[in-house]
Amino acid sequence: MLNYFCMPEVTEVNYRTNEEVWDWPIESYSVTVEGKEIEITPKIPGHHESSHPLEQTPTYFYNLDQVLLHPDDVLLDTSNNPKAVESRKKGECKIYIKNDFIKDLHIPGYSDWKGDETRVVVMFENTGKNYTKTYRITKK
Amino acid sequence: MTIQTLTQNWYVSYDVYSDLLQIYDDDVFKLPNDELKEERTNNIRVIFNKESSSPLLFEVKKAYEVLGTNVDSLPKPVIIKLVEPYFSKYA
Repeated sequence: MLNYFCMPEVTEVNYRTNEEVWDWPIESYSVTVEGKEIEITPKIPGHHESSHPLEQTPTYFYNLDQVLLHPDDVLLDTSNNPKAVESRKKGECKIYIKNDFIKDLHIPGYSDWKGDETRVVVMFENTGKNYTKTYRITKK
Repeated sequence: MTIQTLTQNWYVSYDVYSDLLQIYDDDVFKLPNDELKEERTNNIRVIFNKESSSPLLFEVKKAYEVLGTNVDSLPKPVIIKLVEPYFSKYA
């Protein structure tokens, strides 16, 4: 006999539409993940000349909270890159990963994308400050 | 066609925290998996268009250790030059 009271809770994911956010300025905002407030910060323009333009679109940026709230995987940063090693001295760095995130956002020009992976790097500093260091689209 | 020409409109994605370097053509996201073929070793992965055999993505895991430098501080042409020997071997 089925016990409907034991059915797993389905978490609704409300992606913001392109029409809703297309002209919003890309500004920091916060999301609470497992009781910790994390500030989602924009990418620094010009940091790397080859950053993908999609990483700067409001639709993508304003939905990054969904990557932190509903990740497919969370990894601890184990990189030996000196910048990563230096950051780890300040606290813990985690990489939140979500697969096939782009197509659900219905961004014009990107509806036929397949096999994408979004990686959001979050810094949990010993001071209690939590924020995104960076985010990237990669191919799975 | 030289690698510099081939990758002129490609994107470079590198993250110091996962130490993952990807150099790719946008088309790699537009083709279904059955139209792509993949070759990989421990730290290197190359994805090709199955029909044309054109490379569409070149990936290096543990890039800092494999390439011996922090590619985050380098401009795109220098990164392409750095991976050229590996790229030529597979592509």
